[in-house]
Amino acid sequence: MATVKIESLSKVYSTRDGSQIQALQDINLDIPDGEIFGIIGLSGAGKSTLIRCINMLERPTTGRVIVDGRDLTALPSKELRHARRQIGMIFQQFNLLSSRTVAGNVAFPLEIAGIPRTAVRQRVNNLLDMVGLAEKADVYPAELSGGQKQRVGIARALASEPRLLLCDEPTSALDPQTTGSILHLLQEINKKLDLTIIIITHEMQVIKEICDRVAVIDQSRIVEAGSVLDIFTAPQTKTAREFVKSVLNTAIPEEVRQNHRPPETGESRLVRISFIGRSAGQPVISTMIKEFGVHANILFGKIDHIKSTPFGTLTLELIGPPADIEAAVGFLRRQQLNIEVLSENE
Amino acid sequence: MSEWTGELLHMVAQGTLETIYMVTVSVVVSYIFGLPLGVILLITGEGQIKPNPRLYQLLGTLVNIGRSFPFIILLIAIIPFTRLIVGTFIGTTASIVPLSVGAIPFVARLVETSMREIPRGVIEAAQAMGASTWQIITRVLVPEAMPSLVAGFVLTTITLVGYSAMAGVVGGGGLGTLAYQYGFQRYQNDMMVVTVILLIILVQLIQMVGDYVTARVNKR
Repeated sequence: MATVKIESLSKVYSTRDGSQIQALQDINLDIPDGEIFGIIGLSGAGKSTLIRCINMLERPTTGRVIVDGRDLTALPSKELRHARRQIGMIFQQFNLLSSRTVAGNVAFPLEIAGIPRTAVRQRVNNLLDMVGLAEKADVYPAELSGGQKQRVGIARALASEPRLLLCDEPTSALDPQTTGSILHLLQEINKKLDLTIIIITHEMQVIKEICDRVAVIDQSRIVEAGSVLDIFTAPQTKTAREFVKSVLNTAIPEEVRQNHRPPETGESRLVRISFIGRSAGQPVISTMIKEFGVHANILFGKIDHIKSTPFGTLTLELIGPPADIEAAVGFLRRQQLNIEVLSENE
Repeated sequence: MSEWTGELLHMVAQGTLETIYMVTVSVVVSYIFGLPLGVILLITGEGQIKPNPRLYQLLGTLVNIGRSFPFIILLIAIIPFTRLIVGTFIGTTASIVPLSVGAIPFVARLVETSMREIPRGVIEAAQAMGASTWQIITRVLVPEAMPSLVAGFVLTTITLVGYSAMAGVVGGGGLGTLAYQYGFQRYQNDMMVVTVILLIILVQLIQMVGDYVTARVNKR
């Protein structure tokens, strides 16, 4: 296991014509042992640079990267190479050696570390078993599917028994089904090997399925960070909201909206309620209707899972006198539910 | 038509062996120098594992100068150097010097180009695993570029067969000398035809073996 601490890290690129590009700005992150930490951002936001700064594939311009109490930015090159053996990495394009078999690829980091041949063979077999590719040991990468290549990548990254695994867009070149199986494998090794995992992605699905915490990166800064549940239920920034929307579609469906007519008597207000885990079991809505005398018209509802925690949203139209609606909304807020009052066109 | 006596056959056989000798040794020598030079050219390039713009510029310029020399000029220009190394500038052993010197920059560029085809990410993955520069060169760059390196080796060998014939004109020995002295200067057309056919066969053989090896090492 490993802890990762990133302190006021920035990265500036100088281009050939002398101008400077700020790729990362004042990044601070604290990732505890055994966590699966996601970093999400659109392409060009700087997320790839960030993960490559963690193992010094890119040298940060300022700031520190502390892995297990060691400041990697301060290490001389030989010690950095040793430190890198404790940090596995997998890539979007897999980056396997085409001239080596599957077993040869997994053996590569062990050979580099000077591990004796017999020990290498044993370890390679175990790793290939773990990723479910034991029968492909003597096959060349060109004959593998994308998902299989990524499994080889994972086995290779785990060969030197790292305590930290960096994943640079690990599923972006894979189809949805394969993505699921790779994410499942990552989750499994996180538990089995007590491995800290950092995942860079632009797919909210990845965050939703396996991450414990997430940081949202936008225009070279971290604009929001927190537990995945918090980000999903109460995104604070526009970028985060867009990402959440990409996997949890809570918008009222078009046909509902078109057929919706304002009530003939009284006011109406649209309210979106999000509920997580236990509170999903309480009869909040019927209590509200009884106590405040408002009508509730259910326009849209959905239940989803965020890393096995149920998470639901419900969009209601509350109808009644304005004062009663106000009181009902106040009641909902007191239930520690997440309430959003929507304008008509949201 | 001259009669094909045992003596003539002997000359042709010897010429062939001389050509093979010259080409083999100069290919080996040009790779001993050209391969490391090509690797240095690659790794010191912009965005590579050991970027060094000044060294890259310097070596690149030297290689370009070497490659722009017409071989026939080089042959004569480096006579003092050849003499210094071999003691003479006539004969098969002496021709190895200009052949090698001419091929080194060619080999360096071929090697650099072959290795440049390796995806940057693969090299980066090795770096991320803690590989040293030497380990990256020997365990990533060379094996990953192998199919292309073999193809380049074949190209170099065949080019040197052609150059060796040119060296023959100025007394370098081999099939080139036969073709020039007997075929051209003494109007023995049959000798000219025989040497040219032998050169064609030689080139075909090298290409066939090369293609076979390239296919064998290509796992992509």
